[in-house]
Amino acid sequence: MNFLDDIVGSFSFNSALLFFVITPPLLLLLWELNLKRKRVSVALTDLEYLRDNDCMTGKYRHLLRVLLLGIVTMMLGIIWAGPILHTTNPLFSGDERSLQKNMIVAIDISRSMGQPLDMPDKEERFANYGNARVEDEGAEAKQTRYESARQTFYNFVDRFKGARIGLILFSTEPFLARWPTTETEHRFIEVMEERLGQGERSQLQRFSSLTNIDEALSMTREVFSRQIGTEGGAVILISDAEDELENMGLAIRLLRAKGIRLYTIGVGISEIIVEKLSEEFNGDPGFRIFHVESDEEMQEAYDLVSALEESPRYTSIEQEYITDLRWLIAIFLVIISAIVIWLAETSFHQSWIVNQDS
Amino acid sequence: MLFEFSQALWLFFILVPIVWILKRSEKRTLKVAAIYKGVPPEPWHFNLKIILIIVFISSLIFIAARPYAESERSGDYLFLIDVSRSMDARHTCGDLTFLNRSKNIMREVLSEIPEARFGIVMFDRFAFPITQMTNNFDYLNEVIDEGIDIGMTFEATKTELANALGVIAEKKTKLPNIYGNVKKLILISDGFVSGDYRRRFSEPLSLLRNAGVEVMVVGIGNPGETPIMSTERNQCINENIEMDGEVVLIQMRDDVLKFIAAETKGQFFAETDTEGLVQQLRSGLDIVDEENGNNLARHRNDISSIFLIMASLSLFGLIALGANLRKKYKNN
Repeated sequence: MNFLDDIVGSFSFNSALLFFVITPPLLLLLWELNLKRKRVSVALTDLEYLRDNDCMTGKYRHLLRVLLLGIVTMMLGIIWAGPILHTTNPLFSGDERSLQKNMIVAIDISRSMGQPLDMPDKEERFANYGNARVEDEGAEAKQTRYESARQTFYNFVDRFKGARIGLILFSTEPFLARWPTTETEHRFIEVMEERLGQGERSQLQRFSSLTNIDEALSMTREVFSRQIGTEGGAVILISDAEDELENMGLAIRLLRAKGIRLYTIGVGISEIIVEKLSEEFNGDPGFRIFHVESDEEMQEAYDLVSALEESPRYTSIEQEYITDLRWLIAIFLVIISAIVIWLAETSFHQSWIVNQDS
Repeated sequence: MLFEFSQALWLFFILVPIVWILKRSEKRTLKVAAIYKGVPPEPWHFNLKIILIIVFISSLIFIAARPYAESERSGDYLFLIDVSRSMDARHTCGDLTFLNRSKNIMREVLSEIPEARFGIVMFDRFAFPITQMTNNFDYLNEVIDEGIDIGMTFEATKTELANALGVIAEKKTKLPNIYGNVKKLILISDGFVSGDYRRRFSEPLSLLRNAGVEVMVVGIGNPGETPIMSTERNQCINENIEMDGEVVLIQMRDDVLKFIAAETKGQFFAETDTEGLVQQLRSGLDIVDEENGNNLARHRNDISSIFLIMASLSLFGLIALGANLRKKYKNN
């Protein structure tokens, strides 16, 4: 039953037209069936067998031979057509995913993300803009918001192996750091290894400025719309700032209209924004906003998001494997061919000797 | 030739009883012919039948074992693609933009070197890898078709080629597990930079040389200057972009591009010389050697179609043989 449950219900062919490769042997079989054998040769069936089974004439035996060969030919045609089965879970180790859970993580890399994580007060944050370096040595050793967000992202990527994950980094403007991919074993370290913080000379630091969430969400929407062979998906937005409530609401509604879920992990964002957005999207399971003030809270939020995304509600729709059936049919065809040969050469044996008197 | 499901090869044992059945059938035919004083088929008829059946069954067994071949050579190449605004240049809306012309070159290189692994780094003011190093060509083609158009930044008016080259050199040094095998960089750009480029390029080019990276440069552009057409809602309109009342015109700087190639012992290629570029890249393919720490990826190629063709031909031959196409027997 488990096997049947895993089958999504669709069975298709990679290249159905290739089935017609078998047309010549099929035509030859039909021609053979209608051939006036008496004029060219005499088809003799095994005498002993005829004595034992006089109910079956040579004509029927011939018909059965052609039928069996026809079945073998048809099965070969099916292999040519490349049959594939769509399942929710892999049936064999070599099965490929045709549809993956599709997620884009958008991480804020504005200047404030280079500040220590436990700096909740917004005024204090603004007061620190422009400082060459945080004076307090203790503060310098603390994990920055960006580092915490990066660790959260790494954990997320590790947890969703096989999912299609993209990355957008944004400040005043967003940029696409990774087109969504299933090859996530390096956790996008090519981009994420760059450091962010005052005094750093990395590209990220040079890119880092203010925050524009609307543009980031707009880019995620565009990436989703351009991806081939995907349905729905989720955006995980990690930011420490908020836009105008109206702008954010509109950006979220546009995403939701496309069936894309949005999880916002807000580091030290305004409680008012959290309340108002939660109120506006109350009852919508596709939108969640989390207010976090520490690394622990960020991990908790990440755990919650992961648990939601792992629920069958989304997994069953957004995950699909394809099983290439060619090799499986080939195994059956070997066995069937062996049986056909055995029958054709024993029970339905034809000698095809030429009668000298004809 | 390798197999994903080598257990299927046990099915070859089935050939033993099949050949025995065929031999027995041959004897029976000869016996019947002797009884009825008829003429049995020639010996080659029986031998051919056995051969065709063996080929047919063997081909099916190979298909079942999921055969594939792996390339002996491979290589890691990075595309460094200019996506700054100057790459939107074209004379008319009917023409391809410089960026679209770049994409065509990328597609051609991918199709010509399937055994290699590629990564794409885009640059304007900044340079970031938009893809991982991969030999998933469906993915790479999707990025070329859809991802590059999204661009890196909305205000990509400036080309920081020196920064891009420096970033590549730095990433190769910092991330040897990922970029360690990259020895050739494919830079596709119009080279539209301003100012004293020789001075600005000296440090990144030196870093690239030290990292052992040769830059294969493909210059994109027209012989003269090319305007940038305006767009409205992503639709081209027949108006040129102007700045300070003057039409913005893009001139390909092949002097800049040739300088980069020469300084890194690379080569400059005209846009039309993709064949030369492919040839140069192919010459850089290395023998895959896992034992000596060479972590190049082997290209895997499904070769079951060969066996499918063999199975089909042998089945056709078998049916033709069974159809008994012999000419009418002449009386002695």
